[in-house]
Parts: sequence; C-alpha cells; structure tokens
Amino acid sequence: MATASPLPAPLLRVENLSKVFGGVTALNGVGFDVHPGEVVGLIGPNGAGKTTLFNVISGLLPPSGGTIAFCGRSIGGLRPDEICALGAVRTFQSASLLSGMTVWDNVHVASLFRPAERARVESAAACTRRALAFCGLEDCRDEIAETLSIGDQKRVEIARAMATGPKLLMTDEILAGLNAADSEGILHMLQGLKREGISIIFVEHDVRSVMRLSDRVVVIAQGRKLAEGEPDAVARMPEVISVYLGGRYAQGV
Amino acid sequence: MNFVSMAYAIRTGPVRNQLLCLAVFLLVVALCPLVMNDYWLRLMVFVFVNIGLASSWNLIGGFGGYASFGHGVFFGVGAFAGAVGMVRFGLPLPAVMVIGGALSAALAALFVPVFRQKGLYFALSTLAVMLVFETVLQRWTFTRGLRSYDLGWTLAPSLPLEGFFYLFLGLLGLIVGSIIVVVRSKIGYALHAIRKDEVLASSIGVRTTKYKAITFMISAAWPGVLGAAFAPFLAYVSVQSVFDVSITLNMILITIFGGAGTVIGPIVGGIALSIIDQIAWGNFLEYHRLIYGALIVAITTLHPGGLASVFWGWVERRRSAAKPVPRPSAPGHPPTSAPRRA
Amino acid sequence: MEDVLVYGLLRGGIYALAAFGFSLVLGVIGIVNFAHGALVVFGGLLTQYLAVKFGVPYAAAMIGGALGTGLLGAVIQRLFVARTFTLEPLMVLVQTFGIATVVTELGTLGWGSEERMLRLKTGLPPGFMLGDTFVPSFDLVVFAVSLVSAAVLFVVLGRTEFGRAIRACRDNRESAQLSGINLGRTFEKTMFLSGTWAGLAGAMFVTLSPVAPYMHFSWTVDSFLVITIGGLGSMLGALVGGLVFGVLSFGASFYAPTIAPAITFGVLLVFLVFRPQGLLGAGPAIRK
Repeated sequence: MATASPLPAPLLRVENLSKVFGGVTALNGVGFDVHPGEVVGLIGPNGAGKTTLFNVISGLLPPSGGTIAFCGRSIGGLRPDEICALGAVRTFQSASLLSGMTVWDNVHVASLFRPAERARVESAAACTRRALAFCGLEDCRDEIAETLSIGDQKRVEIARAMATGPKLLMTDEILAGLNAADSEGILHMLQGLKREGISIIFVEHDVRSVMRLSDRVVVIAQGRKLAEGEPDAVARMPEVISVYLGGRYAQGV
Repeated sequence: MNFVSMAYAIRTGPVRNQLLCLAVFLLVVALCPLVMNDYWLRLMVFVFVNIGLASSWNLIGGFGGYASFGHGVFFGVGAFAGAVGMVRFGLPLPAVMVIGGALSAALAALFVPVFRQKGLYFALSTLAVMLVFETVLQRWTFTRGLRSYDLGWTLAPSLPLEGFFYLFLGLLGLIVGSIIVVVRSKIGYALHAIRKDEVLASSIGVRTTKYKAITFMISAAWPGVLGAAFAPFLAYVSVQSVFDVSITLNMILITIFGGAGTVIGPIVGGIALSIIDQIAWGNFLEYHRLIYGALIVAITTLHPGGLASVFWGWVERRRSAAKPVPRPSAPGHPPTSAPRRA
Repeated sequence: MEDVLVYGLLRGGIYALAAFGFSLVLGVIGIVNFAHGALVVFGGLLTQYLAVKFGVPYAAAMIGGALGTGLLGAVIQRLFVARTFTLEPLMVLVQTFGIATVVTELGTLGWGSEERMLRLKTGLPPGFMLGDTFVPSFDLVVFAVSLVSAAVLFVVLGRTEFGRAIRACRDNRESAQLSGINLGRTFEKTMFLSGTWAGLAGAMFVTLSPVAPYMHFSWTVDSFLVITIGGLGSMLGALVGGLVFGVLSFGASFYAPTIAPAITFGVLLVFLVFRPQGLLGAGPAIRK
C-alpha cells in the first residue's frame, strides 16, 4: 500500500465517494489519496465512472455521498470556480477551447480570474506569458485557437490549466487522438509540471503512458475501486488484467 | 493603409482606437441638424434610441449568450420613472434619468437566482417579469393605471427638438462607449467564456453567476436611462406605449440582423432596419410585420452572424489573400470550424 | 372552490396536450420552439376552416387540422431549424420567433385577424350536477378526448419503432447516431409529432373558446409554464403540469381577474427559483 511510507498529508483525499443518477449508481464508495507532487494514474474500462469522478471532484456534479477533502478542506458541493480557485483544475475529454479566441486569450481568461492572493504575486499578463512559454506556444499566441493542430490545441488546454495556478491538475484523456510525437511532447510537459511540484490525476486509455508517468495507479470498474498500487504491481494483479488490461499487456511486462 | 487593414486594426487594436472611431462617427452625425428638417431629426432620435436599446440588449444577449425576452420592461420602467418623476414630483430630466437607470438595474439584480438555471429559463422568466410589470402598472393607481379619466401621463417637452437630438446622440455615445470598454475588460473575457462554454468557464475559475449578474445590470440600466429621457420626448407615456412587446422584439431583431456579440452589430442593424422600415411602412403597410418576421427567419437561417459577419468575413478573406501563409509550423491539419453547441 | 377545480381540470387537459410537443422538442432536439403556440393556433383555425368552409364533419376536420399542423412542424424543421439547431440556442429562439411571426401574419392574411370559434351541435345534454358544481358535458367529452390522445402519444413514444428512435435521440444523441438512427429524419418526425399534438390541442380548444392568430404567443408561454410546473423532459410531468396549470390559471382569473397573469407568472418565478426541475422532472443536466 502506498500509504505505508511516511508521506506528508494528502493534497486530495477522496473517501467513500458515491454518485447516483436517477437509479443508476455511477460511483460507489470510491476512495483514494493524492499526495503533493504525485502523479496518480486512473484507469478503467469505458463507463467505469472516471469522468463522473472528475465531474464530482471539480464541482460540476454534487456528490451523492462520501467526502472530498482538498488541502484539508472539504470541497464537496462547492462551485467549480471555487474549487478552481483553491487550486484543483481539470481538462475536458472533448477539446474545449473557447472558439473564436486567440491562443493568448484562451490562456489569458484563466490568468485573469485567479484568486486575488495569486494575482497580487504575478500580473495576469506575466502569468499568461509564463504558461505559454512553458507549453512552447509563444510563436502561435495570436492564432485562433481552434485552427491549430490537435496536438497544439491540447497544449493550449494545458497552458490554460497551468495559468490558473493549480496544485492539482486532472487530465481527462488528454492524449486521445494524438500521434506518437504529439503524445510524447504532452507527456514531457506533464513530467515538467510534476517537477514543479504539481500533482496530477491522469485519466488515459493508453495504458503504457499511464504506467510510465504514474507514481501510483488506481483502477476503477463499474463505479468501484478495483485496485490501487505501484504501476508494475497493478499491472500484475489478475483481477485488473481480467477486467481491463487483457492478456497482451501482461505478457509484454 | 487601405480600408481593409484599417478596419482590422480598429477591431483588434487597443480600446483607444475604437473609442476614437466612435467619436468620429458621433461628430459626423452631430452635423445632421444643419441639413435635416424636423421630420428627419425626429426619425433620427428614434434610430438613436433603437440602436441604444439594441446595444444594451446585445451585452447580455449577444456577448453573454443569455437572451432576455423581456428587456422592454427596463425601458418601460425607465419611461414611467421619467413620467412619474417629472409630473408628480417635478424632478429635472437628469435626475429622472439617473433614477430610471438605477431602478432598472435594481430590478435586474432580482434575476440573480434565475442565472443559476439554463439560458432558456432566463429567457422565459424575463418575459414573465415583463408581463407581470405590464399588468401591475396597468392596475396601480400610483402610475395612473386604473383611473378612468387620466390614463397615462402627459409631459411637457422639456427640450427643443435639437436638444433631444443631441441628448440621445450623447446617450448613444455613452452606451456604445461603455460597451466597448466593458467588452475589452475582464467582464468581456468572462462573457466570451460563458457564451462559448459555461461549464468550462466555471472550471477555469470564472465566477459565472457574478459576471452574468453584473452584465445584466449594466444591460438593464441603459434602457432605464433611455426610457426616462424618452418620456418627455414622447410627451405621452402609458403602458400601451412603452411596454409594447415590439420594443423588445426590435432590440433582438436589430442586434441579430446587424450581428449579435459585436459592438458594431446593433449600429449597422439599427441603420439598415430603419431604412427597410421606412420603405416597408411607406409601401407595404399591410405586410409590415410579415416582412419583419421573414427578415428574422432569413438572417438567422442563412447568416446567423448578421451583417457584421458578412463584413468581417470579407475583411478576413481580403487579408488572407494578401498574406497566404499565417503559420508554417502546423502542417497537415486543416482548420476545424465545426459549429459547436455553447 | 369545487367549481375552480372542475373547470380548471377540464381546461388543463388541453394545456397538457399543447405542452407535450413543446416538451418533446425541447427534450429531443434541444431547442425552445417559440413557434409552438403558432402551431396550436394554426391547428385550431385549420380545423375551424375545414369544418365551416368545406362542411367536413368535426372529427375528420380535427384529424385533418392536427395532421396539417404536424406537416407544418416537419416543414419548419426541415427548412429552417435543421440548419441552426447546432448553433447557439439563442439563434433558434430568435429564429423560431421569426417563424411564429411569419406563420401568424400569413394566417391573418389568409383567414383574417378576428377571433373564431367552432360551435358543435352534439345533441348531448347540457351537463349535470356534481355536488354543487355544474359540469358541462361537452367540456367533459373534450377532456376525455384529450386524455385519450395523450394516451395515444404515450403509446406511440413507448411502444413503436418510431418512438424508440425518438427516445434514443433524446437520451443520448451520439450513441443513437452510432446505432444507425438518422438524426435529421428523427428530428423531423419529432417535430411532426409535436405539431400534430399541438394542432390537436388547438382543434379542441376552438370548440370551447375563440381562437385568433394574435394568441399564438400566450400559447407558447402557457406551454412553457406547463412544463416548468410539471418538469422538463417528462411526458407525465407535462400532463400533471397541464392539469395544475389549468386549475391555477382558472383559479387566478376566477378569484382575482385583474391580476391573473401576475399570479400565474409569480408562480412560475417561484418554481424557477426554488424547484427548477418542476414537480416530476429529472435533475439539471451538466452542459447548458
């Protein structure tokens, strides 16, 4: 168990979280921790509840039961903007750039609406410049965002998330639809974010990327947590292999 | 510098350029009384009011994407504030204009709970509020609704016609100027994000309810001011004359026709529709409303961006014809311009 | 009190009928159809026209009026709404408002702007006493017919292939498309159903009260009120909402005729603020 080692207090603690839609249970007693600077991979088959989990943590949906604590504070039921202001930001599965806006403006929105204590430290323009530089987007700052390649659009999304000044970044299938080179670039960026001390919850279908990037992997299926542990250990768990990974990956390891 | 690059520079340049452009426009229009007779001056006043109302509507409806179907209520409340204030309390015109604007903004503030709901709830509840106000003002003796002998308010015109011309031209300048400033401010960024994707906006830290409420209050205050100033110009204020559903419809139609969510849209739309209106009234009185309806359908179906998008599309094409390679580092990916649901 | 309840419920059946289509289109296509009231009025006037001008028996005129309205709805969908419904919702609101204006104005040009009514000689007894309340038998028959046609709509939606396609599009548009459902055609069918039942409501209403083109907007607003009370996207909600709204509006105009609209809209605002999902509706969706 990852919690056996003497780690600092968790950044995010999800306990016994459940979400019910009408009579359908989408999440059922899910619990896990994310520590500062840690990358947690979250995998599971389609419809397992990964996106619902993000929706609940980021405040788009109220939880039906259980608790979510961020930086030691309960955030269940707060508004999305309040949760973002506390330092937990997410990306969306479908490309979600603000159409008709330039790359600069897309990122600048996030910089403008940072909470006051962060805005005092760094001006909005400086924050936007830093985020664009980090993601290698300085050259196309005046392009209309949705005219960029898919890979660059994903970079804009990460830059925008960065500009909010997060402690925790939740990426929802950020590699989907990217070619190998673009994927590699995004993975490098995420590793860079990790070096800056930002925690990441990484939802992805490409298991190899998850195993490479993550310090710890949480597997959910049908709304329940199936397994949790170091990437290699999880990859060898028979119940995980049968539900999700399939034989091919297990043989590869 | 040719016309195309100048237009582009004004649009994308600093706020100062746009305000300068507005000032030049106002100065040119200010010369009109030198060459126009009273009929045309009166007509111009109506055009100013229509453009001012449409620009105000455009702030919440066009820039924010929240269509208010009862925006006429703010004009009506302003007009009644003007009439009651001037006749019953003997207040001067500037005072009732401030009161009209403040009353409308306060009324708009009551909508904050509705802003947590979807846009269509907002649309219909604004409509509902307008109908409620219409009924209340019609029945309330304080506003001379129920008195059988003096329905409505008769006001002495407090300014000569030229005075009203410059008053409404000045108001129009203030309204459009304030919108230029607001749209380029933090509020403008919030509105753009809200209109494009409200869920995303709140997820990256925009307090959506707060910014919608601020915008709606600004958008309501200006019609209140216009209504109060309009009362003495109209000389007779009654529920029938200032709460007509067509006032709201005109705001929407002018905005959509010119281009919703652009500063220039309501101005272009107001001028174009006034011309069409003159021709339609003169020649096809019977088909007047039919023509209006057909125009709405045609523009929304064929060119949802309005006249402004036709113009900017042309400017963009001219610019891209001038320099064909915008960015070499994105090869092989055609621009995606699939329409997305906001 | 009993009077208000009885007369309100009797009218409520028609309100429910009018609101079904509004709710269906909102749920399936995701648009607010501001021309919905124009369809209700069109159905009523078409029925009246068929019956008076051509002497068609009422039952046939009613069916003709309803189907004609359904056809108009499908045409509106194909020619206009199909091009805009993926854009911002604001555009469709404005567009359907324009369509309502055009339909209304064309109706006025063709049929005149005056209020029309279709008085039927049914040979029924005028009514009977229920306790102290006089129940007009014709209104009761209309009420019964509206319940039957509501039941027909439930069966169409619940038991037929046609209804299954519509429900699939409502619940999940992408997976409906993946399973081979033609979205465009399904939306046209939805508008046809919506128009047919709107026309039916108009056809019945014209036998009880006068109908004129200018009334289209209040029918749209009333339909919205009904589904706000009953709950968005729920057919049963529309039925309950219709009956509640019937009692509410009849009660308001009975006890306080001068401020009746203010009362009904006051109730609407209370619902919007405190119970936006209505009496029977599901919770709010995530995306706008």
